[in-house]
Amino acid sequence: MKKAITDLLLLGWFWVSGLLILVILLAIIIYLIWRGGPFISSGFILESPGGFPLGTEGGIFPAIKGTLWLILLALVISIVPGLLTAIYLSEYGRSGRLAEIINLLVQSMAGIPSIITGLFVYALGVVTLGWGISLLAGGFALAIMVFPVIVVSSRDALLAVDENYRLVANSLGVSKSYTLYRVIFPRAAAGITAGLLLALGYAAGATAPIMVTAAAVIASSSGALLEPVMALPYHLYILFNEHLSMNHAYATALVLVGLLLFINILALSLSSLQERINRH
Amino acid sequence: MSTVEFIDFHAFYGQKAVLHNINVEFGPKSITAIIGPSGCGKTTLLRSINRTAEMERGFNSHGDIRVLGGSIKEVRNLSVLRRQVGMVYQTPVALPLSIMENVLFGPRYYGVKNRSDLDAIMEKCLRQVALWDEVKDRLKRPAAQLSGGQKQRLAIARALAVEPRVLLLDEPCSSLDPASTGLIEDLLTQLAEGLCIIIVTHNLFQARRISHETAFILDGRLIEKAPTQKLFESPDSPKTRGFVSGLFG
Ligand SMILES: Nc1ncnc2c1ncn2[C@@H]1O[C@H](COP(=O)(O)OP(=O)(O)OP(=O)(O)O)[C@@H](O)[C@H]1O
Ligand SMILES: [Mg+2]
Repeated sequence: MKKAITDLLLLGWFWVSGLLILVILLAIIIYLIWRGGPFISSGFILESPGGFPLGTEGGIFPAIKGTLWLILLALVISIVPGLLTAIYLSEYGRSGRLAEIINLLVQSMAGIPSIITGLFVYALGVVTLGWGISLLAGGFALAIMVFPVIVVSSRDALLAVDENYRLVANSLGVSKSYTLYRVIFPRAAAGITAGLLLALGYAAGATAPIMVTAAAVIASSSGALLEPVMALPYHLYILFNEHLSMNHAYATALVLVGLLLFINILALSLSSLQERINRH
Repeated sequence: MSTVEFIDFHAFYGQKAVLHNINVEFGPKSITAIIGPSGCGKTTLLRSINRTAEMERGFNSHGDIRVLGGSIKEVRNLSVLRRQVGMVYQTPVALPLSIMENVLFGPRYYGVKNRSDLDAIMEKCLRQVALWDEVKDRLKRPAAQLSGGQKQRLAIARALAVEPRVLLLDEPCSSLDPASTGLIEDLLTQLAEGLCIIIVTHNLFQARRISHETAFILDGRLIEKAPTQKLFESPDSPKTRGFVSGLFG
């Protein structure tokens, strides 16, 4: 009897928490739509910021472009080392000594505050290597930030692949790399892609690491590696912080949240596809 | 000449010995059944032959096993050994590929490229396991769609496709219905005309039906290996008698 009541209370609490999260999420989105929605127009999306002070008029096109450049570059830099590390952990090292150490390192990397990563890249790239405040430095900082996300999600996607496939292939004398290429990787592809997308979303929303490495108040964001770029979260921060234009700030926030939602929904549908694949 | 020969072979997981001083020979063109209670070391014995046991953490061994006259400890390239020694497991496993690509998984890796060679291998192996007629119209469909019994025959075809000289089967029928079991027993009997087959089974009737010889293992020790009829009807060891008498009551 007592047990049943505890269960009921817990269940109630889960529901309340779940609802609370949903309500908060909806409230944020609705509020943003209410405050920012009216200011979103094709001009706002497709024009450069203008007016005086800058950002009070015009649009956010270079910030959108800059954010896309940044996350693309972060992905390009981190994808190969990230996937190779994940493959080592799941297929080669397994529970060996080295794998344990790498797992620990990756975990520690995930715990580094992103502003520290930013400062590190500032010291190394921006100053020492002479990159200056640039797309390259920002992409690099974001790459360091998402690397552990990519490693952990890809590793888990690979580990979720049925162990029997490895056993069968191994018993045929087939090499690990061939098995990986023919069976394991295709089988985990949806889950790995979902992880990459989540990493992209994480990078798109990050402000701290690009603030000190890449972002400018105004830039064309042409994609040139050694030029500074505009970025959505930084632009938003400036608009708010300097009270330039609350209207444009909310509209920018709405665009950023829209981008993140889009990426995350894509990631979610891929990972549910992966779950269906794994169950099959 | 024996095809597989254990010489003073011991196996351990960590400190724990699971096989003690095994000396036994398996001849070509014959089926040997391995029987014994759960946990006595049957799977370990099989997986020692193709050296997949050492994938397990803490596994080590001393003594030797010779396959086709060569020591397994001296092979430089494990692929060579594992090509000679095919293995089929208890759970039927279909690789997440088409039926055709399941069979061709090994041959493609070993460099067969010619379309007509590949087709010939596939048809030959699927016919050997009596699966050809059932699947010839859907070779490109995912193998996951096959039934358990069909998957197990596919697994045998996949093992045969790299032309092994020895076929190891670890309780291959334990998850199958009697009809599928019958099919597999028939095909093993046929395959034994050209292969050394070693099958672990919990089904003593099955051991009696298909094997030429039977080996009884207890607590990691080989108690007795004899022609099947002799082992079941007049075993030398009282331990064997005790175990096989469970067959009748
Ligand atoms: N990976 C492992 N690590 C440690 N001990 C193991 C491992 N695999 C098997 N063992 C132990 O080795 C002994 C032999 O196991 P094995 O799997 O060879 O038995 P088996 O005869 O095949 O049993 P079953 O009939 O249940 O399949 C058992 O006592 C088991 O607990
Ligand atoms: Mg076993």
